[in-house]
Amino acid sequence: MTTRITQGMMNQTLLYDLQNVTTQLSTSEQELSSGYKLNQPSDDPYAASQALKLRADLASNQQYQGNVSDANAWQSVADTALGDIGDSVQRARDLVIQGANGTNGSSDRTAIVTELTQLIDSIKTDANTQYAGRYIFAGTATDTQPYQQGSVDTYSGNTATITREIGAGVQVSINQTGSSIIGDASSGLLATLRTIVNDLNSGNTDALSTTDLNAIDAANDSLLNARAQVGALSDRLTTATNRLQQTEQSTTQLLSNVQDADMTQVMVKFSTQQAAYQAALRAGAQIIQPSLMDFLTA
Amino acid sequence: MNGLVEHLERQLESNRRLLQIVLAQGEAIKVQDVQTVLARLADVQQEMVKRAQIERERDGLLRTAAQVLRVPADQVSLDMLLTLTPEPTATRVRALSAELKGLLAEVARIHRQNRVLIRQELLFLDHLMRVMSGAPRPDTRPSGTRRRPSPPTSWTSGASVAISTFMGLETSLRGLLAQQQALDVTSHNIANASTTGYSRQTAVLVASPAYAMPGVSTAPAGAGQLGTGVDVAAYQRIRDSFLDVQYRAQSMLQGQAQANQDGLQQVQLAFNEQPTSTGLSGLLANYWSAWQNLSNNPEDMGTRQALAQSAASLADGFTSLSGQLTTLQSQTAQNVTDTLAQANSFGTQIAQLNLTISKLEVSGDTPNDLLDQRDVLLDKLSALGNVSATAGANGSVNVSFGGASLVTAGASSTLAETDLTGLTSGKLQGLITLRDTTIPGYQTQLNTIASALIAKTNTQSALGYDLNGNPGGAFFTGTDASDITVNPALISNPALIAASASGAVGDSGNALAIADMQSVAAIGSSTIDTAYTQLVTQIGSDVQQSTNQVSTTTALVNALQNSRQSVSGVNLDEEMTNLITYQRGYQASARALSAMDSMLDQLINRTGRVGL
Repeated sequence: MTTRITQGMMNQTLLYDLQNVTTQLSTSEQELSSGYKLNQPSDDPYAASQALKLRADLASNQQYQGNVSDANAWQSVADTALGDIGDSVQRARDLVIQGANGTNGSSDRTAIVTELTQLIDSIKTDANTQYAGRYIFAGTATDTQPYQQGSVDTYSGNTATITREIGAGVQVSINQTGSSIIGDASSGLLATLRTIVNDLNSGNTDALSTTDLNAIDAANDSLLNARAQVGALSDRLTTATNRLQQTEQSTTQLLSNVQDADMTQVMVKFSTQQAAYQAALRAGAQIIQPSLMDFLTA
Repeated sequence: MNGLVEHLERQLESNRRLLQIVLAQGEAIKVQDVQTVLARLADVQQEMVKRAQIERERDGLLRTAAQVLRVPADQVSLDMLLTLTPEPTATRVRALSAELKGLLAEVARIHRQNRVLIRQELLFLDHLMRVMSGAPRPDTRPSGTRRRPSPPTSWTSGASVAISTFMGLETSLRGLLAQQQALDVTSHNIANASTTGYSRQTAVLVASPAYAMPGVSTAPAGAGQLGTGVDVAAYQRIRDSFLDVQYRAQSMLQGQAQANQDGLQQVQLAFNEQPTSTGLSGLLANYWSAWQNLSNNPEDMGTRQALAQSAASLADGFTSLSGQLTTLQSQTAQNVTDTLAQANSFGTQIAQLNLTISKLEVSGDTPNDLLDQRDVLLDKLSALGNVSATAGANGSVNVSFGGASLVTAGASSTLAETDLTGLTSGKLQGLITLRDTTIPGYQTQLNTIASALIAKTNTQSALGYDLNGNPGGAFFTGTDASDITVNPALISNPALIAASASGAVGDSGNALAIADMQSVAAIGSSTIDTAYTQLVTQIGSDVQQSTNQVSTTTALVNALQNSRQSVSGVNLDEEMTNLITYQRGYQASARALSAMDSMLDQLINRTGRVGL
């Protein structure tokens, strides 16, 4: 016996199928209009979990890039300041050589001392360089001016390091303290320069040409060393930026793969569903209408 | 010859009365109406008394004629009488006489037939009595031979026909009535083609009880059964109760899946984790970034303010999500109450239908349309929970819902949620699971995440120092997702945020430590981010699973609904075909009736005159 088919069944089946096609059309339409295939976590829970993680990764990555760029700016300010200090030290060395010449009169030495004293202030000014309102050579006491102008050479900062996170768990120290670069009244560049001034005032040309010259060369070397560290860190930061940008690119690509709709594919799918929908409607309009009644005459 | 015409007219009058009486008697015998049979017998005897006068009159007339003709009275014939009668009276007498002869023959025939019928009834009673008393049949027929079954022998011999001339009219009338009833049923089907839950009906046509005739001419072997036409035995509802059971079982699962899906989708919407509008995941990312930014600029009040704001947004995100879950839970609880009330209302309606159905069933009717209505209610009820319907007395059903008795015959109970100890499925079960298990489960997970965030952040915060060099206070207040807030003191004065690990203003070690909590296990082996991702993934896959269940059960319910429709649904082509069949049947019965009518017309009005 064949299955008995009733008009009610045909209506119901048509409605059910139209409903299904409409749902599919709506899904495709949403994908097309939003550009995402992952509109709700339930569309693909596994992909949703990946997308959440990738989005968090992307946010961290952008944050790290911000951190690196901040560190870079810091380094560039530091490098400029160190360069200026280096220039001052170079000039001081020239003056030491000039002062060590025994032919200088006292007035000549006074002029040299005056220039040296100005150089010391200039160096201290450079060591007081600020970046975004912070003293970059004061350790973590960034609100404290490390050096005072004039004869007092005390270092008011601390020796703590300032770090930046440039990757998950990767921290770099970005600061150099004033005490390690130009020292203070008791040691380092400032102490050396004060000794030179004293030697110039006392006319101790022997010391000037020997120990003082050696000391200022040593200070210059240490300064060069500091600048080299800044350069190396800049290189590292550049590498980190490149790495972070590559990671960002690949993460973005992955995220796109996970959540973005393939427009071509969705368009093709949408057209197919639309065709099916129209066919179902047309068939429905033609199948549902006629019955034996249309062919019976009164 | 005086008085002859008057006498003949009186004779005719009397015989017509007799014919009426015996015909009435015959009808009464057919329906076994003993009272009427006896009453008509009395009528016959009364008429016979009247006839004694007429007979005396006849004797007188004959004697007078005999004297005139000089022949013995018993040899006087009609022709002799007519010689004494002048025209046109003679012609009149001849006609009356012929009519009288015909009438007499008819009265005799009907009377004979009545006697046969009575004898037949008596034979049947006799047979019945013997069968009941176990006595053997008195006749000599060998056992095993039976009376001939239907179809009846054809009644061609005038001598053996003992049925009414008008029986054919009766047969045609039954045909007309039955076809008309069948047409009514067809119309009913067409009218209800789109009625929910309607089961198509058919008029069950059966041949009406045959008219058993003992063979008069060839008795006893010549007996037969004369068909008397058609009757509508019942209006039958076409339905397969097995499909009902299957449909309700699926409908129950569908109801549960649907309730589950509706609730879970709302939960998913509350979490709002979409590519374009991010929920808590985006707020968490902003929060961690704000701590990183603070680690870059620990001295900057603007950065601190930004952190305080994004932390406040995160806290708001937690409390609002927690609030939405609580609202969903209470809405679901309300839905449970409403659904239960709906189930109880269905129970009341079923009980009322039970009462009406029972009354009608007791009186022998089958209330098809009420049965359909009750089945629709049972279908609706089964979507709400597991239903078991068992047949009760007099066509009622006893219904248990969720393991508790809801309807017993005409009485229904008002069930409370605590009564439903055996509830296993359906919308109600889906809602209860959502209310008691699913939503509180999500709530707990969310609270765990918020609690971990509060505890870890506050612990780390206490290890650090604020911008003034004082030890850090609590960053968050509250204990879980429902009441998490940023310490109001930090909002009004962000300098109090403990970013420094040492107390130095440029030190951001503590801020960095808090920022790094993003990648540190905080809940078991999960970080706060991954715990949240797991929660969202779980909700997503719960929704997906429920959606799959809905589409599977819907497809099954649809298939079963189609199966039911295949059995019970109205097919308009079929009904139109039936309409034509019954219409033609009606026309044919009417034609048979008119054929019978013209036959009787022929018999009564066109046959040659009898006598005279």
